[in-house]
Amino acid sequence: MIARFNKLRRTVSLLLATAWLCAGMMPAVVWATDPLPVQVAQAAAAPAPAPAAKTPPPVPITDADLKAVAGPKPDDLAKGDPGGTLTGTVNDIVVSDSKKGLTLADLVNMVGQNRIAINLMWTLITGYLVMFMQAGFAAVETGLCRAKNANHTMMMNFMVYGFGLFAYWVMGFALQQGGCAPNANLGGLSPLNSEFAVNFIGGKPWGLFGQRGFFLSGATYDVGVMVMFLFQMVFMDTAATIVTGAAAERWKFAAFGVSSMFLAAITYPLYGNWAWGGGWLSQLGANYHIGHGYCDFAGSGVVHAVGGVSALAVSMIIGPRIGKYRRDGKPNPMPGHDITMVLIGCFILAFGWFGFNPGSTLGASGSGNLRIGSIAVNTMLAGCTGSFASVLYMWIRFGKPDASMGGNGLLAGLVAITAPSGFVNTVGAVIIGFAAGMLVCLSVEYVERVLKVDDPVGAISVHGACGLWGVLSVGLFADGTSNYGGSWNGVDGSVRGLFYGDPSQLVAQIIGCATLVGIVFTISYLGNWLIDGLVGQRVGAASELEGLDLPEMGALGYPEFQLVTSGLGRSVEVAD
Amino acid sequence: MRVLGLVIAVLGWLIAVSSVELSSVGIQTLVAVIGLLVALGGVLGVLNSAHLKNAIWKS
Repeated sequence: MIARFNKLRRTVSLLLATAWLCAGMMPAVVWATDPLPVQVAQAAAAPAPAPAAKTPPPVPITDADLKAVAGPKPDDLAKGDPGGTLTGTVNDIVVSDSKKGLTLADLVNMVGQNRIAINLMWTLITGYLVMFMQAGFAAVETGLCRAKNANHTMMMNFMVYGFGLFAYWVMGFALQQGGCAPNANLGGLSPLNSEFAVNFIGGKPWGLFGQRGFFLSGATYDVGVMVMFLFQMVFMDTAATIVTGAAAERWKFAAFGVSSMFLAAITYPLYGNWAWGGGWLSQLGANYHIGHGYCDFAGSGVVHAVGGVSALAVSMIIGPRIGKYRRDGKPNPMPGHDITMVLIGCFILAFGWFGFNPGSTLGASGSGNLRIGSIAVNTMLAGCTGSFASVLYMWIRFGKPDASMGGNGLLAGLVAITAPSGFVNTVGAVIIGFAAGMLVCLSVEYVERVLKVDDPVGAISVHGACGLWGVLSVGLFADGTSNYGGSWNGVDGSVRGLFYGDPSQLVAQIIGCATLVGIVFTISYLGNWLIDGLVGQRVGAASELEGLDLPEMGALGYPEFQLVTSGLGRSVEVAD
Repeated sequence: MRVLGLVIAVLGWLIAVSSVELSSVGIQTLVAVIGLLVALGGVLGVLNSAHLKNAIWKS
């Protein structure tokens, strides 16, 4: 026993000695493996300096210093640069006056332009990703509808891009972003400098809408403004296309066009202004000390809940599809025709979401924008846990892992993490996504069975309910580690939720939700009510029974196939 | 009934925003939640009931 103890003691002593030696050698190892700059290598070879020597005062760089910096010689460049060590040097800095050569002003301007160039490029590329989400929405919605409406549903998703873009260019962008300046990431956006405001509670200014940028004319013909327009436009289009899913299979195409333009010109821009354009919701913190004001990083509220409540308004006005409900009010399942299209569409959307959320920094350089990696991971995790939760729910409740709800769960998680993605950590993202996956299942049943509102694709639940949840979750899970230039919405410090020490942030988020339900819904409802009176929102019964492809679009989506209804064909049916 | 539903929804919003000048965060939260619930009641309760009265599947 004693011998065994002594052996153990020797082993421990040996391990400790090894650890001590390793710790002592660590700096040497680091020095040996790091590529040493030339100056450091020379210093290492020279005798060690006296320890008490003072650090010399900094010497300003002069134009003469810059001229002493030599770039690679033309002969070396002519040989090619396979390693990339000769490309991107002092030779590539643009000089303003070739006679003077490189000056300090040239260097500083180049640094500034590089930062803005990185941010413009980042915002554009992520905007392109968001634009591609239209393809995902088209696939999801068309797949969840019946084959006899395939052309009509696909065309609504296709044309919402054109209708929405035009209306947003004419006036939507100006109302939303016309007073959003300054924006340091995109070069200032100085032309967008006029916000219409009225004094309201407590005599504080309440920004209501912007006043610059109609037709992108005048001073808004600006490089930064153009990038902002593109990015904001594809966001608006996402909101507009949410409505087409909820109203599918019975929406008159002409009414859809007018309604989409109304959303793009009025409904979306107003709420977008209040949240992102310097409007009253964003100023709740600065004006009333309520957290950092309403915080919606990438648009759970601005994009998804606006689309969701508008979808609810339109669905209520046009009513359910023929055959959706029996006389006793119980719902009939009406399965979509192509689940593979649905799931491919969900993957496209998940891919596009990497533009949606990380792109909402509006830059990758400066102002805390390096957090884009964290935002992307949060996005990924919430989508994953959303689909996991919904599949689990359906499996336990109905005995099968329903594919369409799996897809909706993925989207629910992504919708919910959109607002908090820039403010929360990965644990928060996982919880938010998982809760959204459960919520979307409960909400789909509630909307279908209790409200008796017909929503063929679950858009009201995915985007409306989970969008509201995403807005609220900022007020719960924001962890106070984000730092986008030291302040948010004009309030110093980082955004913190209830669980991280700032309960007032939750108040701002609840007010945002109340605005979505009380004001945005009402505007959308009134607008679509008016359109119903002028154009008529719903197709005739004969057209609906035949399918909208021929009566509305003049061509079948699948002309070479005979379309038959062979039973309900749904893997999981809602229990009576 | 439809107009009443919309009026209640807007009233809910007014209740929620009236919380901004209250001093206690707890009371602010309570009032804002009440406002949100009133707005939801106006939309999902009153307005939707008005639509269900003449629902297509009842005829």
